[in-house]
Amino acid sequence: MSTTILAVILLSSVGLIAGIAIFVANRILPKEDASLQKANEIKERLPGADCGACGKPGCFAYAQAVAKDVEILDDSPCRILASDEDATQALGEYLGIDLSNAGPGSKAVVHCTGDSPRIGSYSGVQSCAAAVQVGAGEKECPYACVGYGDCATVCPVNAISIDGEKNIAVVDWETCIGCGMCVAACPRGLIELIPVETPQYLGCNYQAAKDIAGRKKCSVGCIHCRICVRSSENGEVEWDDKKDLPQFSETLATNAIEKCPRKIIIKTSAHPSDNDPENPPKD
Amino acid sequence: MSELIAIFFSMALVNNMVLVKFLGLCPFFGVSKKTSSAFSMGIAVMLVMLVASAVTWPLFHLLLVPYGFEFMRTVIFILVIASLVQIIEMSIKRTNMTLYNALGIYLPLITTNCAVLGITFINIDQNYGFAASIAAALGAGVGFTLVLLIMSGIRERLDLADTPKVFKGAPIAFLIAGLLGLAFLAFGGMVG
Amino acid sequence: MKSLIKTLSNGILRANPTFILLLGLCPTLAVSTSIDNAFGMTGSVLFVLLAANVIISILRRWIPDRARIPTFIVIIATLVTIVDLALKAYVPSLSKSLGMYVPLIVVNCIILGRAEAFASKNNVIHSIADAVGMSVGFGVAILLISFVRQVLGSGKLEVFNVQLFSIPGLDSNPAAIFLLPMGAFFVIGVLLALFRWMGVSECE
Repeated sequence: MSTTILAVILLSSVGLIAGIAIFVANRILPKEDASLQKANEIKERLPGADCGACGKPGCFAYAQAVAKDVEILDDSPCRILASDEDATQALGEYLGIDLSNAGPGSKAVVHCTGDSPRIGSYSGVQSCAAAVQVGAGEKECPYACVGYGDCATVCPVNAISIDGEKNIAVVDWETCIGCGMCVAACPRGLIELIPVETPQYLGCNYQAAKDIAGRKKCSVGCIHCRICVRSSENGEVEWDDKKDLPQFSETLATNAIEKCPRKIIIKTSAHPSDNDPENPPKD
Repeated sequence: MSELIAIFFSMALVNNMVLVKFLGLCPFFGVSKKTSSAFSMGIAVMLVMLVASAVTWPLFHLLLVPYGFEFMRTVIFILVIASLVQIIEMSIKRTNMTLYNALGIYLPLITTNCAVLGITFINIDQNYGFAASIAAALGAGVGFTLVLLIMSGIRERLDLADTPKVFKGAPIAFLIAGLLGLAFLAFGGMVG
Repeated sequence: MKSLIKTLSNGILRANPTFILLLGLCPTLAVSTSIDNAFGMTGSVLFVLLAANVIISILRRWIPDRARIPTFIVIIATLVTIVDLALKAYVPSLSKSLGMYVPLIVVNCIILGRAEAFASKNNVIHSIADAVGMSVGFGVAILLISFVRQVLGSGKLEVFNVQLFSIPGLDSNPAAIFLLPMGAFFVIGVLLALFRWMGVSECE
């Protein structure tokens, strides 16, 4: 037989055997697990950012958990999903349940709004975590926001921006979904998740007890004068002795906000109607 | 035995698949941005290389050579590799979902990866016996994974560095690969 | 006619497979040690790409969707075998120097990519234009890289055993690193940056 015919036979046989092998494998291998199929379907309807805010190692793990027990959606909700009405509805439709969009229970604030100047010219790795390793960070105030944006980078909804003049991070209260990724990213622990109902927070984290150098390090740093505590009528502002900073409650402390000499008590957007012309909302 | 070890180290370091033989460059620049995915890709490639070598060697020496069909090797090999990868992917997907999510998604990419076909050709060209082919495949896989890991580690940090605008992305990655290759030259006299 | 020209020029400039799409880097970097190799590789790729595009374009309506990729691979593998055997027969020295990178054209992302993205969806004439465009683009790229590597790496330019010119100082002390594998990485990295700087391609 000529080589050509033999070659054709050889190729065809190998192809045929390969095809049969795949066919047989398809038959004898166990069918795809039905619950895994469901988990895959759920995963398609999740944001897919793998941010870990739900407490599970990635969206697929969360999908598997939800496939087993739908209650997980309430116990440890997916934060990004909570901020997207359409996606929540799509998932609810697939699962055949009504998922209401409660919104996040807490949101992030940055406890630094000052303009402390940089102490030198840093040209290393442009990351906060790296900058703070190089001798007392980078700004005159040792508690200040370093401003290289590690928090902005991890935010899954781009709610954090860096103020170019002051080099500090600013969280957009409306966009924030309260996932907490930024809290972990900040090397100075400046970001805190506070309940959505809290109407104000302190824009400073200067925790040196007897040192009122807050006044010298930046133009708006807390000077621990305690006027906020003294001016609060119903005890809505208390003094945290450990941190040597005021502690706010869920009540709007109008007097304190007005009387603070450094104007360092910032309103969150929780009460946009309380527009005090002398103390406009700073974020 | 010592010959097998020599072949292993030769394929892994001295004649590294990516830096010296230029095989598997597409995943090298595509998948090497995160260390975890780089590792998964490397392991998946090593697995396919091993299976491919194990199957193609007997196929070549017992079927093609005796009947004078060496010239058919390209077509036969690629058919066999494509089917094998398909079966492997199916098996992993149906039996172990976690493993599938970890490395199964890279398997379709590996079918057309020159590294896998390359190692089967190298086995033939160098006249390796069966054991030597397996050692070579293992070495090539380990070398590929090693370089991919190193590259991904560097690239993760490269993201934060102050690269000139025209070099950002692919150009600087190539230059770094060149430097890496230069470093691997040091393994030159290792396998005598 | 206009769309034909557009398809043709697409492969050379806007979507150059090597410099812009970054496809098929394996043979580009591996064989670009001399201009002869570059010509040989370009010729092989041109033949395979052209024939594959034509065949796949003709058969596109009869290839079932699920068996698409295996079919393409078998067609391309057959063509590559033909090219490999032809090179071995007619230019054995070139074939030896190109080595296993000719059979590796079968898994070259350019060929499979164009078959998948273009030939399976367009008519024969356009597929021919696309194949020619892509091959010329690839050829230009590999020739450029080979030129740089050969001139810097050996100090002289020799095409098919005809010496064209040689640089006096470099001739006796060439920068041999450019003939080594890592030289290829350096050259392509710098060329990519150069094209970005010239504004030919976008910055990332």
